[in-house]
Amino acid sequence: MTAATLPIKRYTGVMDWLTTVDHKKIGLMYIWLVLVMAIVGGALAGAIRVQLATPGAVWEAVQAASLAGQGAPASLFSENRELYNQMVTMHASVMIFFVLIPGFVGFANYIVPLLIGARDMAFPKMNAFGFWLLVPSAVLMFASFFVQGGAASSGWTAYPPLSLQGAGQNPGQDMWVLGVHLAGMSSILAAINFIVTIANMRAPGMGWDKIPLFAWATFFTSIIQLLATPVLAAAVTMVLLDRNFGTSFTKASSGGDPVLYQHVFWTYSHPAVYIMILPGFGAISHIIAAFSGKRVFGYLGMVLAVGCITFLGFLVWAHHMFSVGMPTYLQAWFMYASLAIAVPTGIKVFSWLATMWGGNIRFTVPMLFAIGFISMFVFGGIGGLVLAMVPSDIQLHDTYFVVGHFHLAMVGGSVMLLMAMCYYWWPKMTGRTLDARTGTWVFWLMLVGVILAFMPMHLTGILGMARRVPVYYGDFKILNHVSTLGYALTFVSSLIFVAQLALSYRRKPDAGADPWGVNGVQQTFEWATSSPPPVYNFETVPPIPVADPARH
Amino acid sequence: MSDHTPSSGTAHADPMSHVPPGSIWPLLVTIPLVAMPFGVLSLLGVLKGSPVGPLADPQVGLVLLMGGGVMFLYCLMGWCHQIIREKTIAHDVVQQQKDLQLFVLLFLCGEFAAFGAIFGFFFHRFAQDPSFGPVPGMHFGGPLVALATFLLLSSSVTGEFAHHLLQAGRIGLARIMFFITILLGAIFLGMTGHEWGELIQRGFTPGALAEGGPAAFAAAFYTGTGFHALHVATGLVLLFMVAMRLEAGAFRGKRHFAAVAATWYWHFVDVVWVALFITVYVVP
Ligand SMILES: [Cu+2]
Repeated sequence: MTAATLPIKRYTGVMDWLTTVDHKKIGLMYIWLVLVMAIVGGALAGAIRVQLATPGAVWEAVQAASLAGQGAPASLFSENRELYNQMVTMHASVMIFFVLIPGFVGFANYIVPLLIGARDMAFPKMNAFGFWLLVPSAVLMFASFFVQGGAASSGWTAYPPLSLQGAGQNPGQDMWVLGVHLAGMSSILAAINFIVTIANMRAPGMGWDKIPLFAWATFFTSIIQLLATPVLAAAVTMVLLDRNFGTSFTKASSGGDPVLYQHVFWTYSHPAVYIMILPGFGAISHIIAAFSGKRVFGYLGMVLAVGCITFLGFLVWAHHMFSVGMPTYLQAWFMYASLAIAVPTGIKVFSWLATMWGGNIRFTVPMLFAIGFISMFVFGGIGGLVLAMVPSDIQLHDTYFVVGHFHLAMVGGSVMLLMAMCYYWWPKMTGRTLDARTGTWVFWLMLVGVILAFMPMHLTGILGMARRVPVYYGDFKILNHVSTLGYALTFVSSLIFVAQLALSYRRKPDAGADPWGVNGVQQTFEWATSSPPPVYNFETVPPIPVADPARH
Repeated sequence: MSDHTPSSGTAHADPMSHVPPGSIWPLLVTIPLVAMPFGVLSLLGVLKGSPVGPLADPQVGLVLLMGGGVMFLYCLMGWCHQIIREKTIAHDVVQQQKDLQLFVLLFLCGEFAAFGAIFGFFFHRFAQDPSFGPVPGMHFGGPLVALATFLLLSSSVTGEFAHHLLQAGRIGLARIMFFITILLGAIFLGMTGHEWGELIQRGFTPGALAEGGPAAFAAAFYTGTGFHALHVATGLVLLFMVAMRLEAGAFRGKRHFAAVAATWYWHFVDVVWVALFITVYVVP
């Protein structure tokens, strides 16, 4: 032990945060970056909703005006449709690359080493690098608003030939690609770090059959991140090369194939859907078990279900592209494989319900969000089944039904999960308990907002409203107004949420080691150390219960 | 990296002694990572006329790219230096080596996925478009490529020898084997460059296939072989660093990690080349 003799430079204050390699500080920095980005992305969504709510945007008015030989009537983006496309693209990009993906990475960063009884991640410096990589990525993406032609406007999917427009003139799309590269690099590094940490650094006696579910879910998600992200990098690189180096990957006239781009892109992006939700599946099991006063129902089944989703997730990508004209046997394969994912997902939902069944349920704020998540996610999932079936998908492709489906799954699902996790672990992470009354308000506003915003979209979609188009027939007006109202509620509740978190720092730490009083039954390690934990997490690891392993 | 897993049972005298100190490098590396993309965009000329103003000047672009590159390397060196300085904090060398080996394996899995996308492109096009491939009769492949392939395959064998010799403690022989490996790899790289030059002279460029063949094949060919060549170059740098540290007297004890990693990486480069060779030269 030469540690004592080595001159170790310890930073303090702001420099301590800037140079930290502590997984807990890095986790909190992730979470705050995500909170800020969520507000920015939410504001971009606001611009979209304002456009869709502005009566001047209604299709008849546009037509009337053009018939009368006048310019389009006043609405937010009627002068500049391109700007509307930029809003849509950047809203999605910000939410995916800076909110949902790093959101779960942030929580996993803080909680997973605690759950497995480790002192830190396996590679602390690389962990810090993974976080800081998001900064140049964000700089590139946001700077693109201020260059000629503005930000990328071809949707977050960047389908060519649309994404090849403005090549050599407008750098927005190129900056987007480079930003995705950097965010992807961050994802890959984080994934490797989690896999090594969970595989090698568990407390003595914690076999693979005793790993808490959040760590399991993070493990599987990391496998997806590791194997899928390079494929995304390859896809967007094709766009970059075709735009700037005269190659013909996606140019059909020279032997390339734009549909092939879609295949490569969705090979990443369907699994990416799970990157944005699977870790939360694990965490929600902790929360539901904790506030039902029970252990998780069917631990082994839950682990296998997540593994099954991970595996199947790689085999279903083309359900996003049924309408490109693929052979029937391929359509059939991708349809049945996609529907098959409903089975492990159903196993998870029933395990959550069975865990609650007969339990002594406490309706704390995290529990409210957990229950809200289950109900919203089931709705979102059923919409997914409709879209997995070829005949209905071809009818509904690129309509607001799709938008409603994935927003229910991503906002009603992933965001609710992140908020449940935040309320559950905030006292552990900062030592400050959060006021339950404010939290309850945030929950109900959010739930009503999500229902109002995204449920009507299924109807507007069935009625035929196309996504990514800033104008529409008058029939859709009322439904769109409901959606905009729902958006407003969701956004307000998010603001209250962020404010509540920020204001909690004004108080002195008041949370004990186990502020929810859950560890008598759960016996997961994070509640065994102080709140917030010391830099070294544990002086000694609490022994793993022998009689009933830490399956919580 | 220290031994992060606390032992159950008795408390350690000073738990802080396990805590690694902070590092400025992960933060500093982000500066070149902002500068270099802007440099590339500036050199591509796409920033022209945009309000980012002074960045549009290609000279500024060159400064951003080169300066960024230099700073990037400087940061990497600083980072490595700090790791070596902190080596003494590591309590459990065996565990650390295991962590690092798993890291390299996982990293290579990610690399396989990236190459997988390239192979996916090739085979999708082969299946869909019978004309996808070089125009019959044009200069493509031939004895030079076969020779280069043979040399790269032999370098994998010598690399493996070097690794085994190192483990057996026969440092002198291991060093010679490492240098032979590096030499063979460098010759391969040179031959690839020569082949590229030859092809480009005959009108087979990344943007166009000679004699009016499908340009997409040219794009895939240069991207595939170029991405592979980049890996060969990286592998050479790694092997060279190992050889240099061998000179300096490292790897005498249990810490073989860098040597193991470099050898694995080299085998990976080799395996990918076999697949690429078959895909590019044999299948069409
Ligand atoms: Cu999908």
